[in-house]
Amino acid sequence: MSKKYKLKVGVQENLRDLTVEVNDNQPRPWDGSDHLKYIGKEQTRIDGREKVTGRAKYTFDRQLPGMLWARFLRSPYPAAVVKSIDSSEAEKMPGVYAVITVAEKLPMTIRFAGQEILAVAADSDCVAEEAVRRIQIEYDKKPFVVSADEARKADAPRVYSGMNSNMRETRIRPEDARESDYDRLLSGSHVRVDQTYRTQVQTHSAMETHGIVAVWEDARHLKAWASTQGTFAVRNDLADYFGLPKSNVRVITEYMGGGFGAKLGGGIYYIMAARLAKKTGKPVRLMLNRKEEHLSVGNRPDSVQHLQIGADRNGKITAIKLKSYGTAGIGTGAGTSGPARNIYQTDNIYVAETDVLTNAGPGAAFRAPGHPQGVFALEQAIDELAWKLKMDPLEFRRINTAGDERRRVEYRIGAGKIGWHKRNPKAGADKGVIKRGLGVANSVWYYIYGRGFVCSIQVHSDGSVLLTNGVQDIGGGIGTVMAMVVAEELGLKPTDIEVKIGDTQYGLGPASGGSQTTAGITPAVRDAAWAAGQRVLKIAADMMNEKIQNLELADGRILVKNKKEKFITWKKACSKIPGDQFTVSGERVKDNHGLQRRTIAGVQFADVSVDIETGVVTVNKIVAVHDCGRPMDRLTIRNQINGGVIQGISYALFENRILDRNTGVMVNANLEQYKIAGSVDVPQIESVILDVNEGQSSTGAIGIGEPATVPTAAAIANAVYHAIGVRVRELPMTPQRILAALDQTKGVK
Amino acid sequence: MRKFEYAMPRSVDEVFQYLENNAAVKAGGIDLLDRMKEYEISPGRLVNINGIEALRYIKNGNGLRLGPSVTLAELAASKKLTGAWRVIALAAAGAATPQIRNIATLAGNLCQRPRCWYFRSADFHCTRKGGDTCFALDGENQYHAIIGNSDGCVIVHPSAMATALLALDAVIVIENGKDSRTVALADFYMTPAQDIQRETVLQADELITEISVPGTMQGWKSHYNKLKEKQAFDWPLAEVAVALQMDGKRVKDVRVVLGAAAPVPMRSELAEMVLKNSVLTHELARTAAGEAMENAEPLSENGYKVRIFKTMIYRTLCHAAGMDPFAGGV
Amino acid sequence: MKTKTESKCKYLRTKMSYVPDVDNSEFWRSTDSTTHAYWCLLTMQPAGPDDSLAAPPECQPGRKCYDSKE
Repeated sequence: MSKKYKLKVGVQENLRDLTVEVNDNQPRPWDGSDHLKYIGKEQTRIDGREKVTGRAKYTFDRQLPGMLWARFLRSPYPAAVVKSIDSSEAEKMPGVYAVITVAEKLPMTIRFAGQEILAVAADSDCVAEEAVRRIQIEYDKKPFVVSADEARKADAPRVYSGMNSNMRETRIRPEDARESDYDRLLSGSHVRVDQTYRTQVQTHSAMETHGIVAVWEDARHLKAWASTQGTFAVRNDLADYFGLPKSNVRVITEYMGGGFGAKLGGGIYYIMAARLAKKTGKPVRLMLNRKEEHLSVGNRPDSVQHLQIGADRNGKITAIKLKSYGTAGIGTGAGTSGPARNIYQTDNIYVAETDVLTNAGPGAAFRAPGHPQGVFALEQAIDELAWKLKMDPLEFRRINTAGDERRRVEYRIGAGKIGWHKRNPKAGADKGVIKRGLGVANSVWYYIYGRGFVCSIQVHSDGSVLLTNGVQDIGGGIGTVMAMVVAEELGLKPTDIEVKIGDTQYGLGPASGGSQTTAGITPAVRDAAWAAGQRVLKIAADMMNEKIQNLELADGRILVKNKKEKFITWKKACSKIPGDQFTVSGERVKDNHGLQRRTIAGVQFADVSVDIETGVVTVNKIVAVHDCGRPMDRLTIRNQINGGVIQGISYALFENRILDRNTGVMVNANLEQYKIAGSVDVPQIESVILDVNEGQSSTGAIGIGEPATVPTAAAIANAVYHAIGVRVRELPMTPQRILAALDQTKGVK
Repeated sequence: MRKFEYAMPRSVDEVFQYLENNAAVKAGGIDLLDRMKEYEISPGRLVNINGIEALRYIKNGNGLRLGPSVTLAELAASKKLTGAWRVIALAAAGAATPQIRNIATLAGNLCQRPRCWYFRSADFHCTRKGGDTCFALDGENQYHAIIGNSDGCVIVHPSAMATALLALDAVIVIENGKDSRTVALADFYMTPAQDIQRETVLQADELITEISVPGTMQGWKSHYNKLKEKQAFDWPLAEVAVALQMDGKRVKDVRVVLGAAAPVPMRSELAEMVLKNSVLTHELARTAAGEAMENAEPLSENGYKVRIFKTMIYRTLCHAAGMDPFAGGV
Repeated sequence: MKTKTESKCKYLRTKMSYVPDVDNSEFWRSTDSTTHAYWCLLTMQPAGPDDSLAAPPECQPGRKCYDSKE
C-alpha cells in the first residue's frame, strides 16, 4: 500500500508543489516546508572525543594476542620476469613463520616498480622487514616505459606482451559520431578555443595506510579488521576468493583514516594477509607503509586533453570536442570526459578517450574519478573562450547553464562573496611584482545511490536507543548524521542515540564511493526511526488515551499536538514496551520519483596572488558554493568542502608522482618530497551550502564528498590567468611552470 | 630499520665512551630516523645526547657561543639574536615545521645529510653511497645544484643554519674525548671533489661541542630569505643569507651566502665584489644578484632556479639594508 | 569502440561492483565508463591469472580464465 503526499520542492526558498507516492511503511519525505531541529544545522561529531583523545581504535592500532606482522617484498624494477626466489635464509630466521608468493608458479611477470612478489609473516615488524631483505630474487630485467607520451609510440616496449600497442581502443561518444561533423561546427563558430591541457598523477595519500588484520576463527570462518571504505565489498571479495559463504566472513571497520577511493574492495594485501593467517594459524597484521601507498595501491591517472570549443556571437556554445589520453599505469580508467559532457548546454559534444598502459602502479578510483582533471581542462577552455569573446567569464557560464537554477543561485552567491564585480576586467593588469587575480570554475558530479541497505533500531524499556548498520565511516562523519536523523524523528538528542556501524554483522550498508553514503543510508535510518516512533506513539496513545495521529515526538516527550501541556516522557512510554525491548528496521528503497537532473552542481571562486619574479602562487581565498540535496549536518558538510578544497589546492600547486625517467622508479615516495598542502598553504575557505529539496527520498540527501574537490584546481588556474595574463595549462602550477609560462609570452612580445 | 642499542650519556665525556663500533650520535633524530628507515645507515648503537644540558645554550658577549644541542625553536625565539645575529633566528624560524623545530638541534641541522631523492631512497645506489652513477645528473634534477655540479654528485646542501652562520664567519668546535679542534664553517663542509661520500670533515668518533661567532661583526645588519614551492614544511628552491656592514649609504663589507645552490653552502664572492665599497641602491642589488649567477651552470630541469636566486639575492640585500625590494621596479 | 562490450566473467571487479546503481546493479559490466579501474578477483591485480589485462572487452568467453557468472 502507498500514500500520496504533496511536497514543497525546489532550490532555497523558491518552492513549488510536487505530489509523490511513498510506501505505507515510510514517513512523509522531508521537504522545503520542514524546519527541523537538528537536520540542516551544525552537529559536532558524536565520536569526536574518542578521536581526539586517541581512544578511537583504527585498523592500524589493532593488535591481537599472538598476532604476526606481515611485510611484502616488492620488485625494484618496472619491468622484469622473476626467474627464481630463494627464501631459505629468511625462513631460517627466528621469529619468521611463513613466506608465501603472490604467483602460484614462476616465472612471474613484473609490470611496475613496487609490484608485490611475496609476503613474509613474523613475530615482529622488525623481523619481517629483515627477512624480506634476506630473500634473493633472480630477475630478468626487461625494457619499460613510464610516460604516456613515450608509451604511445609504435616502438615502445609493450606493458602487456599480448597487446600489439600500449593504447587501448579509443572510446568515442556518441558511439555513432563522426568527428568531421563536429569539426565543421567548430570551424563555423564565431570564436573557437583549441588548446591542450595536461594533468599529473596524484596519489591518494590517506592518513591511515591500506591494510588488514585477519584471523581465522576456524577453518571456515574468517574475521578481519580492514581499513576500507566498503566493509561489505571486502567481505564479498574475501568470501569469493576463499570460496566461503558470505555469512562466514566478518569485516570490521570501527574507525578509518581516509580512503578517497583507493580503499574500495580488491586488494592483494587482504588476500595475502588472510593466506598467511590461514597458513600460520595466527592472526596476521598487514599494514602498508607510506612508500607502498605511493607505489602500489592506486592513484589519479594523468591526462593530456585536447579541447576544442566554439561559441556564437551571443556567447552560446556551438560545440565541444575533447580528445584525451592518459595513463592509469598497468590498469584502466584514465578517462576525463564527464565534465565536458555534463555541465554545458549544447547538443554537440564529441569525446574520444584513450587509456595508455605504462609500467607504473595501477590507478584507482580517486575522489571524483576523471573530474578534477576534466574540469581543469574544460573550465580553462571555457574561460579562454569568454575572454576571446570579451565577455565576463561568469556571464558566459550563466548563458550556457541557463536551465540549471542551482547554478544561477550559486553564481550569484559566490560572486558576491568573492567580490567578482569589483575585479579588474583586464587580465594581468596589476602593477608591480605581486599580481592578484580572481577565477571561477564549475563542479559537476552525479546523484548515485544503491538500494537494499538496512538499518535496525532497538528501543529499550529504559528509553535507550541503539542504531546499527554495517556502513563504515570513511571519515566524513556518517555515524553522526545517522544519529541526527534518528534524534530528529524521535524527538531525542543526537547524543542520546547509541550508534554501532562498521561491521558486516549488521545490516547492509553502502560502500563510500560515488558520494553515495549519505544519500544511500539516511533514508533507511529515517524509515527505521519512523517505525520505532510509531511503536512508541502507539504505546503512549494507549497510556494517554489519545489518538495516535494527535501525538508527536519532541524534546524527549510525547506531546498532544496543539495542547503542549499534555505529555508523557519518552522514557515513561518506553517503560511499557512489552518484553523489555523491540527492534524495527528500515530499508533503502528506490526513490519515489526520478530527478530531472541527476547531476550535482557547485561552483568555486579563487582569489590568488602570483609573484612573477619567483613564480610562487598563493591562494588567498576560496569561496565554495555547493548543493547536495537537503543538507543533513552542515558542520560535516563544511568539513567535506574544506577537505575537498584543500585537496584541490594541493593538486593544483604541489602534488606530483615523479617516476625517474631512466629507471622507472618513483623518486618521491614519501610525504616529504611528495608535496601535500600544509597548514600554511591553506587559505580562508568560505563555504555556502544550498538548500535543495527534491523530496525524492525520506531525507532528500545527496552527496558532497566528490563535488567539493572537482573545481578547485581549475578555479585557481583561471585566477592565475586573471592575475598574470598568461595561461598555465599544466598541473601542478609550480614556480618552474609559472616562470616558463611568463617567459614564453615575453618571447612572443 | 635494523635493531640497535641505545645509550643515554649524561656528560660530554661519557659520549665518547659510547662512540665506537658503528655508533651514531642522535640529537633530534629527525634526519637519522629517516636514513635508518631507508637503510642508508644502520647503526649498531644510537648515542642520545639530548639529555646533556651542558650542550644547550645561547651565550652572547663580545661574540656569540651556541651549544650544539640548542633547538631551532630556541634559536628562532631568542631575544639575544639581534643585529648581525638576526640572520640565525630568521633561518631557524623558517626551517621545517613547529614540531620539528622543537626537537631538531643546531648541530643536527649542520650535519644533516642531503635531501637528494636518489640519495635518500634505498632503490638507488648513487655515487654518494659508493655507487658509480649520479642518477640526478640526467634524471629528475629540478631541485638540484646549479653551481658546483660537475664533480659526480649534484646535491644541494640542505642546512639553513649553515647558510646563515656562514654569513657570520662562524667557527665549529669539535672534540673526540682526547683532543679538541676548531674549524671555520667554510672549511667544515666538503665538496664532492674533495670527498664524494661525505659532506663534512667531522669524523665518526667526533662530536661538535660548540658553534661560535666572532665578535668582529658588531654593528652589522643581516637578513635571511628562502623560497619554497610550498610554504608549510618544504625544502627551499633557493635560500640567501646576507650580512652587511654599512658606512652611510656605502657598503663597507658584506657577506652574501647561497644555500640550496651548490653541494656546499657557499659565499658568492662575485656578488660581494660588486657590492663592496659601492653605494647600495636597488639597481646595485640587482646587478650583484645577476653577477652571483654568472657562474651558474644549471642542469636539464633546474634552469628556473637561476632566475629565482637572482630575485632572492636582490630581495635579501634590500631587506638587510632596510630597503623595500618592491619599490625598485621589476 | 563502436559498441559497448559487456563482460559476464564472475571474477571481474571494479569499484562500481560495490556502488551499485539503483536501477541496474550490473551496469558496471559494460564499458560505458572510461574512468573505471578493473581488477581480477583471482589476482587482485589489473592482470588476470593468464597475465593479460582484465577489463570488460578483454574478459570474454574463450579466454582461458573466463568463467561465466551464470
